[in-house]
Amino acid sequence: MENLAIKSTTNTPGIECDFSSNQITIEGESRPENVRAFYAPLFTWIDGYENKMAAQSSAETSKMINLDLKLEYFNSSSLKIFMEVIDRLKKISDTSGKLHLSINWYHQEEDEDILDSGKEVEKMVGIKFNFISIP
Amino acid sequence: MMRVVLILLILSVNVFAQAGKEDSLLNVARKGNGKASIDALNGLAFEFKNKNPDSSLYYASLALQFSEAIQYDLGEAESNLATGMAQFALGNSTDAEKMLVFTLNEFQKLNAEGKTNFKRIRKNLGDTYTTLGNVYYSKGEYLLSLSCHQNSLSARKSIHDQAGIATSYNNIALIFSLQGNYSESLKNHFASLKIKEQLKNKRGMAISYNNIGLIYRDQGKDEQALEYLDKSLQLAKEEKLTNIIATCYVNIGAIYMDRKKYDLSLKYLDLSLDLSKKENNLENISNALGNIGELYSKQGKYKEALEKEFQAVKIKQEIGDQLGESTFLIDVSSIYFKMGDVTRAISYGEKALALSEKIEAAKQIQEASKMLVDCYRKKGNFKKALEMQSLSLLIHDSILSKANSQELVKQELKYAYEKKALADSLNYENQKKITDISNEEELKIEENKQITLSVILGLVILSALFIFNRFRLIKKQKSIIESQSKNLESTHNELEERSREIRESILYSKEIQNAFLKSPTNSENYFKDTVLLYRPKDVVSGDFYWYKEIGGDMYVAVGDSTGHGVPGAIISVLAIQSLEKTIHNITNNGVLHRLNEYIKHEFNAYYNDKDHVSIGLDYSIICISKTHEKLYVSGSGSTVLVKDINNKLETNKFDNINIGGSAPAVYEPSTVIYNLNQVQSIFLYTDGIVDQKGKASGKKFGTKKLKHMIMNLNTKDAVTAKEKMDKELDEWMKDGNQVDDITLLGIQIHPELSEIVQVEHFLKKNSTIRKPIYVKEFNTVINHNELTAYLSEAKEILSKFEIAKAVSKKCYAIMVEALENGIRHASLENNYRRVFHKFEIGNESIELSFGNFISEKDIPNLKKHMDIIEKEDQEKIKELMFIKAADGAGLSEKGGAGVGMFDMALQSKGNIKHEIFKVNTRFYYFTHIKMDYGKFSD
Repeated sequence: MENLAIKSTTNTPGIECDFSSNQITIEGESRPENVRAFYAPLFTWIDGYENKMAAQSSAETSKMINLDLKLEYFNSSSLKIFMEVIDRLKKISDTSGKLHLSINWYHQEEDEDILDSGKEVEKMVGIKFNFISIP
Repeated sequence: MMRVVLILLILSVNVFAQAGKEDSLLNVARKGNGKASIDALNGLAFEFKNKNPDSSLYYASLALQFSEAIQYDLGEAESNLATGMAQFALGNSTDAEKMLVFTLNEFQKLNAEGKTNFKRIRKNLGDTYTTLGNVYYSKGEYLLSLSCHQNSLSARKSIHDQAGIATSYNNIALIFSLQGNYSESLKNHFASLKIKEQLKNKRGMAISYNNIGLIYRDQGKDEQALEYLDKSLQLAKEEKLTNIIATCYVNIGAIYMDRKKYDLSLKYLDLSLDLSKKENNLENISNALGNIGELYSKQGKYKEALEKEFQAVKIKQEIGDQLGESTFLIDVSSIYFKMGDVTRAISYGEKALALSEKIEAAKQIQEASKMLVDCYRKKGNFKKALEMQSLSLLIHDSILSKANSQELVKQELKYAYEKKALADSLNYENQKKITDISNEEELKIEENKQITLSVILGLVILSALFIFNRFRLIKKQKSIIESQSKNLESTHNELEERSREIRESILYSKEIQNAFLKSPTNSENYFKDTVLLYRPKDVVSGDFYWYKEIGGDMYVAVGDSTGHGVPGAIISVLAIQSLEKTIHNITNNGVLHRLNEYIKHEFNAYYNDKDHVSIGLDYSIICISKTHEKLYVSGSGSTVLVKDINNKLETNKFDNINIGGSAPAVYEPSTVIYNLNQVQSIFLYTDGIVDQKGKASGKKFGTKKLKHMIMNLNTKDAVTAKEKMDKELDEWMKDGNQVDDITLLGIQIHPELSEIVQVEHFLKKNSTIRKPIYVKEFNTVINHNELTAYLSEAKEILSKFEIAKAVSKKCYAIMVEALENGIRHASLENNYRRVFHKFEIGNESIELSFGNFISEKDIPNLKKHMDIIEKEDQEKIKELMFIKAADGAGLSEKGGAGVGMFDMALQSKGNIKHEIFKVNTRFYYFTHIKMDYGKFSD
């Protein structure tokens, strides 16, 4: 399966999806002109990922999927997208039974707003986040 | 903005490069002896005069030394000519002038002596005149230059020096074009061109085509101009003359810029830029860049414009062209001003001013100071504005007197011709005689060798006697004519001196009057555009225009005082002062002025006796009132035309009463009131335009024709409108006399005035920062890229003012949400896509205001959110926001999450106000947010 790599710009984050290591990273500032269009490739990738996972034999050992969110700023539309992404991954994890979802929410040490938002999102989606402070 | 259409003039034509010529000359100089060696040395000096003027000077000095030793007069004169030419090439105009004047005398003497090699002498004479003419041209002494080139032409004609004749025609043409005498200029250019065609001098032809093209451009004949520039371009391409190619591109680009065909213009300027880059011609590169910058600025692409202008400035710095640098710095300042960044506009304007003052570039000083007047006015720094205003005036005055002296050249020329016709008839006779003698001698030597010596002697004696007699007679006539001409000259000089003094004094009065005249061009908050025709009958005018803004009301007046010329001008200044005073007495009943009583009381009271001089005026005044959203129109002895939004033109004719003059002691002019949103444009004018008689018909222009003209303007920009009106008026007048001062002021009301009014109301209501330390405001259509650019600018500002990081981040988040919302909601209809935003930093708080149009169907939802924000506490709002974000319903049709308002409320900790206004038939949504630093820096 192809990996996905989108480079960051001043107003859009970098996105990296690596199939072999089950890793999704979103990093930077997120306020794209057209939020839906910008994140469409990510959702397509997740679709493919879901299919692959479903096709794999149940004999395989259990795995962990990692979502790293390292955001400096995101607008309210992006917030809604992140909720959707987490929701999708949660469903994949739930169906497979063996795929454990781990979410790492990064924030600058002094940026309490981002930390607060992360805690609110955590509350909404019902999964425990790892909060990681970047000094 | 400073106009930087750079036109490259090419002055001299004769460059004949001949390989091997130098070697053979060196050979002769070394091995030859006597005259041959001297001639070779001079030949070398001529060869090197442009390529290496220092070498040229060396050869010429050797030639001079040897010539003096053997008393070889012609050699001596030629070496002096070469010296003069080389000095000119080195830029030493003063030395060159001295040397050439001296040389001229030598050749004239040799010519008069009638030596056998008269062809060579006259060739030199022609060259000396030409170089001297070029020296004078470079010094701006165009009259002297013209006379030199004309002398050169006749010398060259007498020996059929075709190439030289072509050069002289070209040079004469350049001077005529400078004087605006286009027909003479063209005549000479075509004469030059014809010869160059015969000689197959392709480079010369290309230059002629280019210069002819430029004259057509000056006359506004763009089609012909393009035709000739294209000819020049094609020829230059054939001959691979890169400098001419680059010049043509710039000129073609300039014409397209004139015509507002910006894409084409850019294409040619880019071509010029590329070519100059290839040639690494830094001067051409920077000029092309500057022009491209101007082009972008005209298109409103300020960012791109700045980029180009900065590049141009940098190159100008590198090549040490301070004049160019200051010109482009002024452009930079003007672009920042247009962008609304007055602080930067001032900073670059001051830089440009300092530089242009250093190099004493009057035009640049004036432009820079004018720029700064606007800047400081906008900043509210009126002291500085005034300082700049007076500097601008001072410089304007000095430029004017220079320009004026150039204007005089034309008249002087006419006089000089007449004088010459009187005194020179003799010179001509003299010279002709001398020519005849030398011709005769040659003929005799060649054809009649067998005629006996006695016959020759007899003939010579006879003719000598004849000449002697004739000479005595002519000498007598000459002295009479000379003394007459001297008298004439001194009378003329005296008269000229007097008239110059009067002219200067009137011109200065004009400057003073100009300082009082105010045309409301910069009041963007009221007007979309204004167009002004202002044509005094004499230098100063009895007509005036004026405006003043008080609170939310803009007053504009156009008036015509009794009389014209200087008396009219004095009254106009009094009238303006009276308006300034009485306008404060406005009452709310629609009466705009108490001018009549004021003028009667203040001035005319002194003239109650018989034979009194009365001060009176006719005038129109309007008030565009944002506070009442009305247009008030009033006047006396005048007519005001008002065009409504349905293109209907209404005529408001006011009582024919002369205010201050024949009006009764107490007189209240009537006032017509319009709803502001019904008005499209207003035209105020004095009777000069309708009373103007057509030269052909003898009929008055008339109100009907004026209305017709206004209805047919059909243009969206004021420049074209002005051109159109000027043209129509010119065509009516032809070259006939102007009967009275003419003033017409057209005002196009800002179509978004009601919106502006609402914005101002909202700000007035909510804004609390009285003395902001930073303000940025815009009301325009923006796209996402522009938003990104604005946001990074805002970030910089926040860090520059050392706002706490937490507050800055919240500010940033609010700006993103509000402006993205604005962009999202902006209706796609053309007129309702603007987004309003104001960003203010005060001493304790930051305030952010936003506004945009919304569609009616969005209002209920918006109101629901507004309610929640007003009623609920922060925790509840936060909860609602995240619940909505997680509802899985996806984004809205426009791409919003529907929680932006909640986010803004949270970021601002509830210090947020909303309002929905109706603007015309649309709805407008406002947000205002206040953030105290203290509250957030915890």
